[in-house]
Amino acid sequence: MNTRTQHPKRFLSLLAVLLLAVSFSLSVFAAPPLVIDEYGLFDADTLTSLEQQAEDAASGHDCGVYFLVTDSIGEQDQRDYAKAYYISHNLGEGDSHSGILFLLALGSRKYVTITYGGGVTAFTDYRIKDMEDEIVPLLSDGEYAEAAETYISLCADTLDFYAEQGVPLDFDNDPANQPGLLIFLIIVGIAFLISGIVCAVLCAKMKTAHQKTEANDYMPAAGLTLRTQRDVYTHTTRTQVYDPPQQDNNSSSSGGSSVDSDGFGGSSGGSF
Amino acid sequence: MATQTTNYQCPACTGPLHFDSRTGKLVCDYCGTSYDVKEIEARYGQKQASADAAATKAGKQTLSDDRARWSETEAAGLTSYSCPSCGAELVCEAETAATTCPYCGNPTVLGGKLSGRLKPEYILPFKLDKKNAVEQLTRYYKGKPLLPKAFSRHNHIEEIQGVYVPFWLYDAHADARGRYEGEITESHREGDYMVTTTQHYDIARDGSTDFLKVPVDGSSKMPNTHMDAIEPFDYRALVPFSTAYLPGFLADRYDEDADTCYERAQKRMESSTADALHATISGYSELHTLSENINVDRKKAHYALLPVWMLHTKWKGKDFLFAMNGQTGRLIGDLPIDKGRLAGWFFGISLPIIAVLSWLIFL
Repeated sequence: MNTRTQHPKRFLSLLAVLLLAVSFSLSVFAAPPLVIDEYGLFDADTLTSLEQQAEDAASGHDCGVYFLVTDSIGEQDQRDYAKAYYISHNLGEGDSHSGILFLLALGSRKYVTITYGGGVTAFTDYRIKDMEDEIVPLLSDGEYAEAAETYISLCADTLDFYAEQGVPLDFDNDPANQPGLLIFLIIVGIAFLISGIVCAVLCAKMKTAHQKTEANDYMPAAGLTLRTQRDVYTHTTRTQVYDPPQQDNNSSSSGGSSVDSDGFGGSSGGSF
Repeated sequence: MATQTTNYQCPACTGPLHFDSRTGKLVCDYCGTSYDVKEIEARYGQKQASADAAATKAGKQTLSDDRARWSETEAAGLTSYSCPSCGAELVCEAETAATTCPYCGNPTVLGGKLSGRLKPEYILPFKLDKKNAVEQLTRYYKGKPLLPKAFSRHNHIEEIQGVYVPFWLYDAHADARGRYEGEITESHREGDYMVTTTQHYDIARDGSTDFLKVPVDGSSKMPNTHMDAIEPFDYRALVPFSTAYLPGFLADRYDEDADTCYERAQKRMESSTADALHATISGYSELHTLSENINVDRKKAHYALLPVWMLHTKWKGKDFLFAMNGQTGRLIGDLPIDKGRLAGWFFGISLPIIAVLSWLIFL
């Protein structure tokens, strides 16, 4: 009887151990969160909301959109820190570990954006700079949650653009660089100029009476008969003006993404 | 004041003669017989002399009755003549030297107006007749998309008239002397510096030229712009003046003398001389004038009648005058602009360009 009553207890204990083991292993192999707040910057609701937005942004693109908040990174370079974190935490989607990570080192007041795998292609140097130009002023103002939302939103736009157009968002295809109104006004100006010239020519044909100011028709064909024709060299002057040759320092003008020796793209970061 | 007139009549049928610009002969309006100008000149030589004498005598006559008279101001600009064909007493402007009787259509030369001091030295006979002039004017209207249709329809092209316009033709000698500084500049790069080397030259020019028969119209009624714009005339066709070339055309005598008109000719000659002087200097990237002296010396002023076809018309209260060189056919005249058509052309060109460019750029 006792032995019979002890069997169900052993079974339940074994089941509990198995459940714990399974839950532990799931926690070890589960995908890491996209918004990682090691600093404790965001409250729970904000964190949940940002996480949901990041998941939506990454959804269907095979490219993780990560936002990492950490404390001070000391004297360490923020790019090196971010790369090490990306590798050590096995971030990125798919076999190529594609993704983009924005590091906000709050204690050091530093930031950087890195890309890896397919993220390098999707996020060009131009686009990353463009994104940071929008995010960094928010960080400077202490609007961290808004900065994170802006980052995620810009990532979503960039990935959607790549998916729809088949080419990454770059300086030559950025809709923001094509101010339609200005171009339209230039077109109108060109059209008005051309039609104005044509109309001026037509108007000129209507007014043909002009007083003459010369009498060339009544001169000999040979023109002027010269008695004196003297061209005497007098001196030479020499001037020099400092004018160094212009060099094209705008490396981003060629478009595309730069990759370092570790296969990471992105920016070199900065302080806010 | 009556003016002696000459009505050239056909020796065969006594019909009126007119100068035919195509054949260069005088042709009878009735029987069609044509005569050389010299032949008629010889026949009418004596008549002309007596006409001139009569004109002088008539000028001294005064009216003795007490009816309403022309005031001095009015009379100063007018003259009268009796048409030798129908006897009509006609009043015309004092400068009119040849005209047509409005009653019987006879071409008449007012000989007294052209004789003596006022007699032209040369005449350039019409080469293009009225038919040519009408064709030319009709062609001139074509290819003018801004011309109001109603204008060409209502401006009575057939009323175009041949006019011998009085011109002064100036012969002059021009001397030109100038000093200039010429520069030949070359630039090249030496490292971070742009180096400019300039060679300086002292330039001197001294020369002369002659001008032959520079024309200026001697009639204040003729706009200078029109008379200038129909130049040049081919002076090789100039002939000594004879009234035999006048029948069938209007003719004016000058009302601005040679001295008054010379200023315009002088400016033109000075300008051309300066241009010719500059044309002798070449090969310099820059030229600075240090001193320049142009001196035009007038040698002679010839008085000549030159052929011009003219049409004066009014459109919406504005005067429009067309002038055509009666020798070369060069036609000049300002035309009215239809503002509606102008707007149509403007937007008709610009809107399709906007549409095409927008389609290319935005789509």
